[in-house]
Amino acid sequence: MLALVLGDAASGKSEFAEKLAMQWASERYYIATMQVADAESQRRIDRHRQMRRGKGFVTLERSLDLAGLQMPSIETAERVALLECASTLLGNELYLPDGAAEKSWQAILSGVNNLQRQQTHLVVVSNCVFADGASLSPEMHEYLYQLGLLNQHLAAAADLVVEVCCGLPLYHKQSPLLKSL
Amino acid sequence: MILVIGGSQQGKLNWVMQNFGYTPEQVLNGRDLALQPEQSLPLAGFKVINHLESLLGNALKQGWQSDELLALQTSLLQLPEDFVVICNSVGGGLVPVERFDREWRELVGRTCCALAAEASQVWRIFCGLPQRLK
Repeated sequence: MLALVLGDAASGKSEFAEKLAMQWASERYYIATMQVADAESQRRIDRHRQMRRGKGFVTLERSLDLAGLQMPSIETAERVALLECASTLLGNELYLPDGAAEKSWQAILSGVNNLQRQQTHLVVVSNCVFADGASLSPEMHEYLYQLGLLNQHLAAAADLVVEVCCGLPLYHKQSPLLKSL
Repeated sequence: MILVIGGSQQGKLNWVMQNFGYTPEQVLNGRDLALQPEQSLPLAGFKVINHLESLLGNALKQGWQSDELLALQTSLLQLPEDFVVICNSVGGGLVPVERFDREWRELVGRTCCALAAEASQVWRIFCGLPQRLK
């Protein structure tokens, strides 16, 4: 199964994604994407680590080249991985020196395919940042353009697409196999 | 008239063309229109207005007054049953710093509410996935 969990900033999408992943398998991996750049990013990372504590996730750090990530083989019957998040990964690929630049969204999409091949279930978290009414710089426009394409391709491939608002799920797509959710 | 809204980069236009069977030639792009207040919308041959938010933004830049903007809204409300208006949602960010941006997003939001009230169908496209609101 592939799930795409989207939401605004601080919408509760991570907590929802964790719950979803925990329902799917007891062998759990968490793919963390944020690079520690300053105290603020360190605080965000610490908050997420605290939130995951005791939930049985093994954390892997990967801020670039998801397509090249080789994970340990599955130990139990089913494994779930939680990728958090596609939008941070896109920022990394676009702006870090070794990133995929104008081919970032394609690189991340093949990275997601690579992850899918290595587990039973995959939950991908991404951001909704497409309704700002202020004038955008060309860089912001490029980021939104690539994130929009990435989200649309992920949504098309996903069995489940959920938008989280204030911690509450809005289901945009739900495969018949998931009726029990 | 049918209203289709959603954030930018969500696949709204693709969905409209697939769902309603319209071609790119039938799409009038609001980004290309900078109408003077006395001009009416050049609608002949078109079935879709894309980027209503830009059409409205361009009208504001051309100095349209509120009564002129209201007349434009009235003409949009009178569009044929099978005509689709697509508009980017632009009210989801912080209050913009620039006065123009504030007036623009207010105008876009209010216009969409007025169109939605009269539309036969209202759709929101999210990640390429349609959700019918009306």
